[in-house]
Amino acid sequence: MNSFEGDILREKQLQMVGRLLAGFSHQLKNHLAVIKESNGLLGDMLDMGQVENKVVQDRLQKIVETVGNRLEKTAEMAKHLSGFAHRNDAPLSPFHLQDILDEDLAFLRRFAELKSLDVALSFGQGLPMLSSNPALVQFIFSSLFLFLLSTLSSGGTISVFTEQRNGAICVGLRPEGLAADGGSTLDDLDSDQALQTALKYIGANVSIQSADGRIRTILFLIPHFHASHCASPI
Amino acid sequence: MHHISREIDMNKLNILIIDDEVEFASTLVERFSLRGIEARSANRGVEALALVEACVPDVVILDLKMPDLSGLEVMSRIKGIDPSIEIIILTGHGSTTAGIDGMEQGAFDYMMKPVDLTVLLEKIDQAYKKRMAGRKES
Repeated sequence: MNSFEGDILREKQLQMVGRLLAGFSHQLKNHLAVIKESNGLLGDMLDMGQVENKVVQDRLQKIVETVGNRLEKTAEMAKHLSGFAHRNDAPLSPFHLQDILDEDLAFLRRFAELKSLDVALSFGQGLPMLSSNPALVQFIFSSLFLFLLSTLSSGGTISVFTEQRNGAICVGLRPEGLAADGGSTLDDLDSDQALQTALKYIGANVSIQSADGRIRTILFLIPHFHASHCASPI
Repeated sequence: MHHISREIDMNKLNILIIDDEVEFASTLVERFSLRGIEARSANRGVEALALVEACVPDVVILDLKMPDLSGLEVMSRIKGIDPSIEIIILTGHGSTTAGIDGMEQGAFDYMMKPVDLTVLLEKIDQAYKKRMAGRKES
């Protein structure tokens, strides 16, 4: 298999994964809808005094609240899974950067939590919509986030912010914590061919500010519009 | 804490829920009934169209994916029976495309599952008011 065939195969695999995930999340939301309505009905019956025993009523009310709270969180996860699965539907589409980052971070937070790192968000107000490849923007952001994570030891915070800068929309990543011994280096990022290719295709840049060998800020600059000569590989 | 809304004129409102998820549709009917709202459900497109002919609902809650007819096909036929019946698409589909297609073909609005009942009731209220306003004009 030559490299071109390999690229085609990988592209088809990704499309298939997206389709399967989209169908799966659809089913998941249907199940959640049944659970939500059933739990809601139980709550309705309690509100209407259809359970006479006060102790049982209080216990059931707490169960309804617990199920409700967990449902909200699971529904949010299903929504992000669904959105993520559909990001490959069109290679070029208009989208809000915040939606893309919210989706990505729904998955990435877990990796941060495993290292006891907090993620702080600060989204710029009134940012214009981007017209680009949303799946590639997510791929680049995830790569940068996971790279930064690998440079940090446990504890601390990764601040994620967005703003307009130099005619582009900028996603910033700022670590606050201790560097990990033997963690990834900037050379690792430079030699990441997939990341470099993705950046090239959407006409984006990454700028890294460091001091004393430590990363201070990573800036991911995305042009408002996908340049016509930057055909998407996916 | 659950609070049962009674803002809608329940004596008049008539809802039809069309969804192949039997438990979802029947539970929603039960919750509407507890609020004094007349509601029925159908789990197939053909069954739904027969109910529309027989009961003429004010508002239809419609799922887009059904085994016999597509949701958009069902919507088109309902509008053929009575164009003033308002239709709210309620779908588990992740992409907004299907909902937007539905609105372009005459749906009042679309919502994603799982939905908060209070939010759904507000949407039903708006749809019902639109149907009533349309009837007065004609």
